[in-house]
Amino acid sequence: MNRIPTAALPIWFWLFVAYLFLPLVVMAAMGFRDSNFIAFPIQQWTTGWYRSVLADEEILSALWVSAQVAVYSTTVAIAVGLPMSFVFARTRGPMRALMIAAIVLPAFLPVIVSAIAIRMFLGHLGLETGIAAISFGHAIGSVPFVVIMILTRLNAMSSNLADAARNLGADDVIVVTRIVLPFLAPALFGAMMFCLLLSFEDFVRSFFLGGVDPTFPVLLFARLRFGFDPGLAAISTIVLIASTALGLFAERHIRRRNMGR
Amino acid sequence: MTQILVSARRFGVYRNTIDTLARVPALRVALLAAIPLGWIAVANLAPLVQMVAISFQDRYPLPPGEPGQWTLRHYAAFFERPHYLAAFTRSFVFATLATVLTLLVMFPVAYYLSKVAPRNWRIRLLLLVIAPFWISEIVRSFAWILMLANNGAVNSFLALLGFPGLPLDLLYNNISLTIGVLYLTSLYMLLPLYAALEKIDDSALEAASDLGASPFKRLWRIVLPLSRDGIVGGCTLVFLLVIGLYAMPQLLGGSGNTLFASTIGQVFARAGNSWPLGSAFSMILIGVALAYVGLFAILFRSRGPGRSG
Amino acid sequence: MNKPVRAKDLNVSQSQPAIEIRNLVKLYGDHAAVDDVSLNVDMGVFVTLLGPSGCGKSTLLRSIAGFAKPTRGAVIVGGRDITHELPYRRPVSMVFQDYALFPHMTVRQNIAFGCEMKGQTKAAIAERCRQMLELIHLPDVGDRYPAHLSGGQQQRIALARALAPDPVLLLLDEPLGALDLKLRRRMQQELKQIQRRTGKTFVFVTHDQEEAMSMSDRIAVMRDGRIEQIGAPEQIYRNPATAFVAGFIGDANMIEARVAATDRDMLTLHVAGQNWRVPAARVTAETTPEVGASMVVVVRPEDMRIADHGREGDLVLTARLDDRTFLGGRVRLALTSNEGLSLVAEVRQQDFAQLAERVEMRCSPADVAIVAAAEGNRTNP
Repeated sequence: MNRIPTAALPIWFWLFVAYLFLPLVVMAAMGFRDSNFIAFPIQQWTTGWYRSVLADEEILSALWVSAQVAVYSTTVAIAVGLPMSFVFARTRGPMRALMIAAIVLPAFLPVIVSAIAIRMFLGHLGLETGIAAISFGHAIGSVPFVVIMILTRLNAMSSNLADAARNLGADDVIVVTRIVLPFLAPALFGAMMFCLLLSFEDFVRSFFLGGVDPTFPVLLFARLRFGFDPGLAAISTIVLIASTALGLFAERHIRRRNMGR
Repeated sequence: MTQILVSARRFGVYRNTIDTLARVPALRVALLAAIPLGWIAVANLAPLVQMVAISFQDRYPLPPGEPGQWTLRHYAAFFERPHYLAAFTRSFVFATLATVLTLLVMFPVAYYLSKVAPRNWRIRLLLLVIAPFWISEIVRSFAWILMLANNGAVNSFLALLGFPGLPLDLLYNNISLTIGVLYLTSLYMLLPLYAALEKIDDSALEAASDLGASPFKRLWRIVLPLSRDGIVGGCTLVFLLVIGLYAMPQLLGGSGNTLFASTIGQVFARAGNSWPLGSAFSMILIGVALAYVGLFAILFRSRGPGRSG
Repeated sequence: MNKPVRAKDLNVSQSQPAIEIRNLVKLYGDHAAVDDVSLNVDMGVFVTLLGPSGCGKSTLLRSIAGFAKPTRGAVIVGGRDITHELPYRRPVSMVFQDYALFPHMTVRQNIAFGCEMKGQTKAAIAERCRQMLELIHLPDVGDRYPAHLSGGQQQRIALARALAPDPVLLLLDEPLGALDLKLRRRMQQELKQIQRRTGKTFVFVTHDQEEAMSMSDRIAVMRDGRIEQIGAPEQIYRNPATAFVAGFIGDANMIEARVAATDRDMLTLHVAGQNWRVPAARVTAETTPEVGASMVVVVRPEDMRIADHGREGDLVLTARLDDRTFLGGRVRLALTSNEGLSLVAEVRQQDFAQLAERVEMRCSPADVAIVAAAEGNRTNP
């Protein structure tokens, strides 16, 4: 074997890992700095910032808005994406290709354009910006991923499975509730987690569709433009750890369920 | 639950309904398709169609009762001001460079993860790298501000080593923006590359080295052609992501070189008759970006897989 | 309204067919996947639909289950016309080639599914599951998931699941196709035993003629959407109705012949340069052929003899020995006759000759079957 690339590759990889995590570690550390200003090195440490941001009304309310938006948009995205996947799993031909193109369209548009288009559309209909509008926008962005994830699982399902259930006396309602949905459960769970996290981290759509109450990324953006304090590092670290933990949990859960059965 | 559904079949209405649906598959599909079709129309198409329409309107929103006037002047405005054209060009150049850079950085990483790393560690290492996937653009920007600011981590570290001429101006320029953008795009590149590389049979690589192919030749003749789909997919994702970046350039980039997405945002935020102009700009961005990406995909894919041998 | 029929609800005599198919046609566009098939199967019979892939056997099975809608004709199961009945109201169960076990349910839940759909009580369902697991000799796997079981075990679970709701008819769509050869042999026996023990009517689909021969009470050989011949395995082997059946079931030497003369019960054939008299009863087609008709003489390899001690009236072919294979007690010979025909013979150990030697191969008129030459020259002589 050739020695040069084999030795260089791990080094390159671990450099990349350092590049990924170093800023995050620095940010987490900054949250412990006992000062009102961002600066290094950190001479005095405190847990005060971590405690105070969790009492910051504005931040808490932004997190709450983000959570609401995440739940609403996920619900809508699943409610639309699930029947859509069923339709795609059953249809063939050019009509299907057109529909798929229309579905994945939002994933190929620059987010800012799609956010503004929705903003104008809602304005045209006389609808307000705010939580509902953001949720709508997030759902539009999430549906393509929901469809792809569910469709992948659906394609892995033997078509005989539904026929076997029918053959044993199950009508279509029972086929869906007892066979298809349980079979899709890992993909549904994965899609839900994906939507929640996607919604929670989104900035552009929330920014253009938001009303008076900002979501967390929008609030953070606004505060960063006015100046930095270690409290922002603290809350960012908390959010970062929470969403990463959730993401890893989902990943693990899905992997185990897909393999186990 | 199942018992209820089974017992429900004793009721004629329910029974007839599900029987009819079972007998007429077209009806079932139609019922099922109603929500998705409605969604596509309302959520995916209508806003875009409306945007196209507004971009050709002289003014929007119109005062009640006044008829709309069709015009191309907003498209013309794009070419009239060098300011817009410059931001547009800068966006495309920047997005292209950022895409190429991401590919160069991530290809070895993906290759290591999928082919070189110890087999039983691959999944764990992959998880390690994709763990930060769910961090928002804003938090990522903030983390790099903390790194690169005048009193940030890098400058402090250099000061500790006794470097002269500190602090270095690391933040608010193209370099800090590039570092931040790479931070955002790396995983979008990694996943398609990993998926494509993982599918390459190890025996193909071994066969090539058995036949005496040099590492470089092996990469060029075997690995790259076989991972073409991953490269095209990753580059498409990354390019479209960068071309639409809005917040990060404002947080990490310099004030002198605005990107086109920010321009669009500014146009919309402007008071007065800004919607038609912003819509026209959006259309130009979408059209050129999709054409650019499509051309790239076609050029790269058109050399069919048979040619690699 | 009409409830699903159970076998024990049916007050039927053994003489009434379990299933009756009348002139069934299934068109896909212009192509007839099933072309005017009629079939009666008595209660408790193991019948096999045998044919090459694409012959329509699976479509026929799916029409019985209700997954394919027949274009014309009728399907009558247990005396009830179910041609237009929905799949979930038919008293038939199916075992699928890929088993189609529900991956998210335990074995017990899988088996219970059909009974649940009939609204049986919990206690009755539990008892039925126990019986079924007992029947397939897997009493302890009830709480496992299908993915954790071997292919053979999954196959048996699929069988138990299909039998649990007590169907009138069990349909099996190449259920052993995914198993390796050894396991396949064992499952063939076990399947046959289960069929005997339960007394159910089995309709079994396969393309493997050995499998069909070893398991079935009756075999329906299908080709191009039609049934070529129905009968007991021995009958089909001994008296194939067509050249296709002769070639598909077992090995056969197919020797072209022309009818030279007919009288009341004897037929004179012009074959391999000789005139050969065979009993007219050996013609398996329904009508006696006319003089000049093209026929094929079917000779099974084990009916070929190398022998000088020939009997009067034998067909004698002089052939060169090309190859031989030992099969334990017998030897299989590959030969080429003087007329250029490739022949296969299976003979006893002491009978074989030297390679490249010329030998006289004989067969007796009583052991052959005479069938009409295939139209369009489909068979390989």
